[in-house]
Amino acid sequence: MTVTNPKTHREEFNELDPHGFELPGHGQHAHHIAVGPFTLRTVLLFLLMFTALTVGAAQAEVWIMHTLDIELPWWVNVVGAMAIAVVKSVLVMGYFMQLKYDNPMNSILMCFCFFALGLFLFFTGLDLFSRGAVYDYKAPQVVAGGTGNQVTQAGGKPMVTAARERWMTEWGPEKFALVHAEVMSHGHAAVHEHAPVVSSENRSRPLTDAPPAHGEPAPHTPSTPAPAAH
Amino acid sequence: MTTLDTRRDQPLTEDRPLWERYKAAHHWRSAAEEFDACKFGFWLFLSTEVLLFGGIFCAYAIFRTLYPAAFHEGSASLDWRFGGLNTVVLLLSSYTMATSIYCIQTGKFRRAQVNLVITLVCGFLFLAIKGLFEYMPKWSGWFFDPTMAHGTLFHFVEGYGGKRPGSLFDYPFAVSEQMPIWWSVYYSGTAIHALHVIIGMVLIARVLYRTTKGHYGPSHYTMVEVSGLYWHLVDLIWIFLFPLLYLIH
Repeated sequence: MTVTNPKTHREEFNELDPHGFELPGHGQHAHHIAVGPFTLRTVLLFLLMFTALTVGAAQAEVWIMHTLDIELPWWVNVVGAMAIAVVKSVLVMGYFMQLKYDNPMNSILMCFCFFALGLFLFFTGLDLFSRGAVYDYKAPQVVAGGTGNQVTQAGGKPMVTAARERWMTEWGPEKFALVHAEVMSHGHAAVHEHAPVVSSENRSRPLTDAPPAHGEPAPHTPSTPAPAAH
Repeated sequence: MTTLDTRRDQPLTEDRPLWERYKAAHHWRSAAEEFDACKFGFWLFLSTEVLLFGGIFCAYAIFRTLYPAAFHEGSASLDWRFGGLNTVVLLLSSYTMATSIYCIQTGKFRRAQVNLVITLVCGFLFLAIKGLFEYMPKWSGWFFDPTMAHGTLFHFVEGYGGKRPGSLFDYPFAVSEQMPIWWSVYYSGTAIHALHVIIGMVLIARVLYRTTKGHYGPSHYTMVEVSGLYWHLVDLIWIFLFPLLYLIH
C-alpha cells in the first residue's frame, strides 16, 4: 500500500503557490479556536474566587495581628498576594487572551517580557537591599529622605509637617482637634487609620524606616495616644 | 463574488456582508497569516505595556521598601471594598469581552454587540467608582453620596481632602513624613491604568460600531481580537495593582 504525501505529490505542485495556501480548505482561513462559554464562565468563577481569597488572606492577616498579637513578617503579605495575582494572571492570559490555544511564539514572547521585568526588579533590588550597609565614611550623608522639605511651600520642613502647621494656623487648636475627630470617625470610606507602630513598655517594635544619620536626632514619633483601634 | 480590497479604492457592493468580502492585504500569503502576524505584533506591543507598568511597580517596590510606614498608613486610607468592587467589575468585563469574541467567531452578532456594550458599561462603571468614590473625596474632600444621607448628592467633609501627590499634598493629619510619596505612587499607578481603561473603551466602542456595520464575522475579526487583548491587559494590570495598593496590612 503506498501512502502519498500531499505536500510532495508533484502533480499538485503549483509554482505560484508552493505552500498550497490558495488550495481550497487549506490555510486560507486561520484555524480559529473558539473558546466556548462554559470554559469562559468557569475561568471567571475561578478568578472571582481568587479575588475573594486575596481579600480574605489580607483580612486574615489583620485578624492574626490584632487577635493573636502575632506580627507576621512584611513579605508574607506581598508574597501571598502576588502568588494569587500570578495565578489569576495565568488564567486570564491562558483562557481569556487565548494563549493556551495560540501560536506558542506568543507565550514565549510574554514569558520573555516577564523575565525582562524580573531582571528590572532584580537589579533594583540588588541596590535597594544593600542600602542598609552603611559604611562609616558615608554615614554623615545618610538622612531619611522623601519628606519633600525642598518643596517651596514646605519651607524647609517635611511637607507633612508643613501641611499640619498650615491647617493648625488656619483653624486653631480646638477646631483642629474637632476636625481630626470628625475625619477619623467619618464613616464614608471606613477609614481606620491604624496607630503608628511605636515601642511601648510592654513591647519594643523595630524601627523599619531609614535609621537616623550619626548625630542626627531620632525621627519624631507622635506621643498622643492612637484612636481606639477598630 | 466581489472582494473588498483593503486599499478601499473599489466600490462596496451590498450583496454580501463586509466581513465575508474581506481580502487580506496582497503581501500576505493568506488571511490566516495576516491574522497571526497581526496578533503577534499586538503581543509585542502588549509586552511594552507590561514594561511600562513594570516601571511603576518598580517605583512602588523601591518606595515601599524605603518607607513602609508611609505605605502602611496610606493603604489604610484606601477602602478595599471599592478596590474589590472595581476588580470584580473588570473581571466581568474581561469575561464579556471574551464572550463577544466567541459570539463573532460563531456568527452570533446580536449577542456579540450586547457583550461589547456590557464591557463598555463595566469600563464606565470602573471609571465612575474610581473618580467619584475614590479620587474626588481624597483630592478635594467632596463626597458623592447617591443615598443622599446628608441631604445632598455631594457634601464636603473638611480636613478629609488634600491627599494629593507630591508638592500638591495638603492633608493635615498625616503621620508618616513620606506620605506625599505614597500618594504619588498611588495616583500615578491608578491614573495611568485609568488612561488605559479609557483607551480600551475607545477601541471597544469603535469595534462595536463596526460590528453593527457588519465588518466583523467568523472569517474576519482581527480588530475585535486585538481590542480584546488590550482590554484583558488592562484587567491584568489591575489584578496586580489592587493587592499592592489596597491590601497592605
